[in-house]
Amino acid sequence: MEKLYDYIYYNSGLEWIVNLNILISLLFLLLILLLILFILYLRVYKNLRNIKKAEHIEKLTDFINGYLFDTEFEEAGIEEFRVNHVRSKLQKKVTTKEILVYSQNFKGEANASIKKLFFRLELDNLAFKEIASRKWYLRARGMHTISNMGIKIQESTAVRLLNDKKVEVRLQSLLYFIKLSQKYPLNFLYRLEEPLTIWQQIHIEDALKSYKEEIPDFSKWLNHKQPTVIGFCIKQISAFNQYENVEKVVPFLEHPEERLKKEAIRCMRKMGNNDSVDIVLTIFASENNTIKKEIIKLIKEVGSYNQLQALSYELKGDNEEIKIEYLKAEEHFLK
Amino acid sequence: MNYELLVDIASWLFLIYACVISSGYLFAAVFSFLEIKKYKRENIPTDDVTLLQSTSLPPVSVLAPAYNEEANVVENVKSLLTVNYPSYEIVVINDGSKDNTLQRLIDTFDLVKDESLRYNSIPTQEIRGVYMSTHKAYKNLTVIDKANGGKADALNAGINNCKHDLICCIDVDCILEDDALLKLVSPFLNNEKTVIASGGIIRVANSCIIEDGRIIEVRLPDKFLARAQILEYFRAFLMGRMAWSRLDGLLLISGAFGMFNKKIAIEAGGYNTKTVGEDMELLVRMRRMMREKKEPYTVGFIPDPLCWTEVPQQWKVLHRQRNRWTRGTMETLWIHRKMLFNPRFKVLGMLSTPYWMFFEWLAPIIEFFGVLFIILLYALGRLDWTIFLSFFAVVYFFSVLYSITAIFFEEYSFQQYKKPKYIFRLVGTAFAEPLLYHPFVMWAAIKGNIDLIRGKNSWGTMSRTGLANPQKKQV
Repeated sequence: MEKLYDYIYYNSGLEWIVNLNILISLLFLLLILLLILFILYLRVYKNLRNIKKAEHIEKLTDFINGYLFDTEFEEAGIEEFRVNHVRSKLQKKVTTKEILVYSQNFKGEANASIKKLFFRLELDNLAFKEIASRKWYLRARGMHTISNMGIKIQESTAVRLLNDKKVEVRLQSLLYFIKLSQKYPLNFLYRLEEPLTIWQQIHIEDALKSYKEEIPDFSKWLNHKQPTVIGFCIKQISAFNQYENVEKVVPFLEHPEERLKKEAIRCMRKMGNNDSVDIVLTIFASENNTIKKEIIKLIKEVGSYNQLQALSYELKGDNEEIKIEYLKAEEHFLK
Repeated sequence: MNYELLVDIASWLFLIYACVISSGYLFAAVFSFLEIKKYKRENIPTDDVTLLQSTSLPPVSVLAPAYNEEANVVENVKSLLTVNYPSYEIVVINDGSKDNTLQRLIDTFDLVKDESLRYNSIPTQEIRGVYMSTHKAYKNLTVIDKANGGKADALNAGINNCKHDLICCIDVDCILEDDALLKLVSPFLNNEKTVIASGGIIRVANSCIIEDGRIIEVRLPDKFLARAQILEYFRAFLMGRMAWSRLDGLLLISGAFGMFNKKIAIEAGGYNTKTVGEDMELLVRMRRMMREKKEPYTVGFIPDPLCWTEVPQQWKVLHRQRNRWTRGTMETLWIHRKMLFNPRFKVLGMLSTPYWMFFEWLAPIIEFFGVLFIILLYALGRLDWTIFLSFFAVVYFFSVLYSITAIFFEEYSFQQYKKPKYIFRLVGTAFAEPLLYHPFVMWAAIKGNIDLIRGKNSWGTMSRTGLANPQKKQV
């Protein structure tokens, strides 16, 4: 250390440090100035881009209004608009986005016209390119466009995207299946190999609420290899009051997987199934607090006071949380 | 070893530390840039907003502690009650306020005592009463009145008494973006691993135009102190947490707005009432527990501005806040010292906790000793002004460069400050901040260390101007 010190201090002098520091400071200062310039450039670039976007949206709005509502609108105008105004990447992106908004807001004939316009402007080519992309966010965006525009794609491509490694692509793909299916909106579940996230389940539930045809029989997937799919189906059985499937859910009351057991108990509660109480009474003692709470809630809503009292023998030890749940249920019966 | 050698060794050690810390910042900047780029690219159009009409989203309990908030509590709660989310309850915890906070809430929201049985999973100070509204419009409001025990204790009382499995802890005077709850919930639902908590970007609301509890126009504050904190928030969120989120090494979800998995929070023991950095400590404890149980988990981070908060505009108040933050950091690192450099905790043990120790806790201390060292050299007539000034220039320009990079990240990503003059003012602030603001924050941190050693563990008063107002208002 001392030798190193001597070398640096006495042999080299300290001018080099000062020089180096000045050089680094100047470099930092240069970077600061460059960054400031870049920030200003970015601001100008974004502003110009926004202006271009706004101008394009204005033109597009006029064009679409004319296309939809002007009785004297000429078909040739579409081709002219495509050639002159749907050329750059930005224009294609903005036009697609706007048409998607129109398509969501219009129903019936206007909706069909908007979809027709989408094809006439050859925007489907962009969507096809996107779903074939190696970048996952483009695949997701492409599927989003395709499903909202009601474009049928090859079955094999759709199934591949349904089992994509990115959850966002899978979500858009399963929405594609629901939106485009005429009769069997959930048949994609047979081909689903990845777990269903709760976020995806909520999207499916939401899409099913606006589904006009007959709601599928959810018991078909109660033996699916993905527990998340089974859990989802149990939940839907109660959400859509499929009483005929209650018997098929009963075995899940004793399922080793906690989330399925919990979903099954909740399903029984929502369906008002009193027969299930006797089953859960037998498993109560060996369950954890989450399941015990669900069981007490089930008894409170569909069971009797006697059934609740049967649990009192099981409430040993100092499990205060469960005792309070029990007392709440008791309070409910004695009110 | 002679005296001169000692002085030179000290100089070299300071230099090495400066190089290490600068490299750390550089890495953080690179990682953050990659994360922001990814976020921008991946911001695909989806139908997520339509989910705000969905009844299938999991309900959320929003916990808002209040202490002596008589002046603003009603407006703040009314603003919270307009949150855009299909199913939620607002739990306001009156932490033994000495003013009329509770009475104002009772009178405004027609509250009556609810005598239902409740289980206290986490021990807290005495609960004097739980109130529910008789008014239908406020059916999702619960007010807990309890003996004073601090913010952590109040939040624990909220956790004990709330109904839902997801809890969102929030400062009562925060302003939320319209879809803030939906965005914060999404990591919990869209992940194959268990998500224990999620947080987002917090922004400074000072000087912004606020109407009916919503930000109408983002403005840059006139006060230098608030502007300096805006830069600090840019650096912390756009350059710090973005990078940690990419590495899954986040140790802090801001106490102003964060969501937690209630079951795991209870299992970890809830908020620690013995530390003033309860937000950081809880997350570290939850992460530690999950790691020790060898359960796969993650912490979600939404790189969107979700919540706007008021920052101190007085030096005295800022001093108290930074003093507290330092004590909180030290306490957390001390409680979880077992994790430091422990490979068992992977990123947390080998990167996150060492980062917090060297960069957050030790940095001001070493900087302070550096200043003392310079003074000592000067007093002894050993200060080489040329060398000193050359080093000072390097450090100064580096810190300006770091802040300008943060402004660039903001401009590249969210561009919230729309007026061109704001850019110039922020750049000006970046040049002034290392000289006028940073030494003060460093001193507050040093005082925090001294106070902790002396056993001080109070929060100190945080006076605020107040944000929420039913009328259009500029804070």
